[in-house]
Amino acid sequence: MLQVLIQYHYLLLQGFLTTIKLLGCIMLIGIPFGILLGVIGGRYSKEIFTFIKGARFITKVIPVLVFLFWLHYPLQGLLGIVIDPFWTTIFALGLLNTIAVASIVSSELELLPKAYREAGTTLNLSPNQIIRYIELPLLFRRTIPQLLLIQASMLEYTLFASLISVPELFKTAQSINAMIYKPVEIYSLLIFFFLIILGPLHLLIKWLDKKYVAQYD
Amino acid sequence: MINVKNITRLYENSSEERGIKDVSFSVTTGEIVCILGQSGSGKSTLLRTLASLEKKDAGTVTIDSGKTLSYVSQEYTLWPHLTVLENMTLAPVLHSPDKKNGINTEAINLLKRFELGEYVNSYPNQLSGGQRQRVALLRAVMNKPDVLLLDEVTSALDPELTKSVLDLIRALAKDGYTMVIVTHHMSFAMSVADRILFLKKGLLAQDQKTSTFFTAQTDPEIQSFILDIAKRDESIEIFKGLEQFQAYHMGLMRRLPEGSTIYVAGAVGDAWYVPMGDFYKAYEDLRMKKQIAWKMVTYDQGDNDRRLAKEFPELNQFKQMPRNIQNPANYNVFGDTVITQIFEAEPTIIQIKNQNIADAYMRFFEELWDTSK
Repeated sequence: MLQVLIQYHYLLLQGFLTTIKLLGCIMLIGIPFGILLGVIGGRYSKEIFTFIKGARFITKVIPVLVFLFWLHYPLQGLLGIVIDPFWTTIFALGLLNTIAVASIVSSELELLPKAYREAGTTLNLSPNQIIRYIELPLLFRRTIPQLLLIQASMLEYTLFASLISVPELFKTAQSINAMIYKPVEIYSLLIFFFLIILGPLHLLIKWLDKKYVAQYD
Repeated sequence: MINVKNITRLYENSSEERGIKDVSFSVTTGEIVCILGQSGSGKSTLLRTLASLEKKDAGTVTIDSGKTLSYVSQEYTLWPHLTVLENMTLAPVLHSPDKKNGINTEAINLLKRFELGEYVNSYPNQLSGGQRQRVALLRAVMNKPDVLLLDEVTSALDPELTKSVLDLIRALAKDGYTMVIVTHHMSFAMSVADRILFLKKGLLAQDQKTSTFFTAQTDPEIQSFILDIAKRDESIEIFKGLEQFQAYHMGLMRRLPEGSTIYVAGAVGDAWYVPMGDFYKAYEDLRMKKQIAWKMVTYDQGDNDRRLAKEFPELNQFKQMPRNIQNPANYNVFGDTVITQIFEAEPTIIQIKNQNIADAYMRFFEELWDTSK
């Protein structure tokens, strides 16, 4: 395993960086836009709230791979355009991430006890001050474990990009295996990679969940 | 300070119309008004409407210009992500960012005054329910309101924690805060309130002085409500029926120290002697033996009263109240205890053991004594 790692470290690193770039872009799109959409839906517009819930339902029902393939092959064929599969993946997973984050944020805003907001109102805080100093920090604490869990899922979904030929980590591993046929070493290495990335992330989620849930007793 | 005119706020609740209808009253500076009523009578809706947390369907609420209100609800509303100190200072600091240091010092001093100083850096989930509600009250005070609106702030607390919160409200009352309070603690309402508003199905059924409301109540439905809430109040005991009525007064004679005085206001003629029946003789003998005095102001004196004043003048000081004093309270005070009596087919005594209430009623008695002949 170590020998494969040393021999193909450059290729593996390339694949790893592509995976990280994909994830970074998906998070950069999904988290801010998702929070914005979620706050609008949860606080200002019932229509947006309904739209988020509808979109979340659809994205849950349609498998990610089918959605990615549909965007990559038939849609581009219909429109007569060709987009780099890297960007298609970012668009597809970024959209899914945005909808998932918006859904969590809008639902949690609905669940935040009204009394917290009312306490701010009766202390003469403006609606913007209430959102900024009370609701968003509370929302952050309540949703951070769920948001991280979604991001972990997004990392897992990036594996599907290999099926539309994005040279991310999994695709790179497949390519190396096609050259030297050492599946045990190569796929074990892959497991190790995911373990060192997702392992600490899941432990962090568990810790945050425990830490912040206690505050709402 | 607050003038409420014909406010209405109605909403549908499981096909039944709830809320408040056409309610009018006013609150002057320094006054403490308690709102009482059955569950669902619109008490919280009224307070929430005053706090602008509910929209009015009709009517007006006028508050003197520049005056502010703060509302504390029955729910725990401390923001869980902020420490006690941050909870108390967030709003004042956002209003006056340049005074942050002074505001922090003021908050710490306030917490220390009410024995919460050690919790400055604690989070709400580290406090007991009573401590949370006390911090919520102090947070409202930090905003320098002219009027505090308190909506059943003890409803979620057990009796021991309730006391600490009620004591804090009493201390704020002493500081001169104007307050409108929804409560179901009768002894608390009796000890702090200047006036009682009673809501019945969303309508303001009564707006009376506290002493009159509790001790000269004429509405049978409200009388029964008072008895109901009194049963739930730890400092209140009820003695109902002839047997208990007589036993109470005989027991009282036995336990009062020699030379004590019972102050009586509002009793009419010989009404009290009737339910005492044959036991009265034993009662009088014991009273004379222990030299326990009656100091009484009434509209009328009955035959027994006149006889007692003649035979034992030093133990029976009676004065007659002018007729122009309306609805005098009907109560007795001795030591830390106030009793109010209902002389009906089933005579009833409501006993309240509370020094604050006894002091308040003694002051009222002294006023009556001075204006009577």
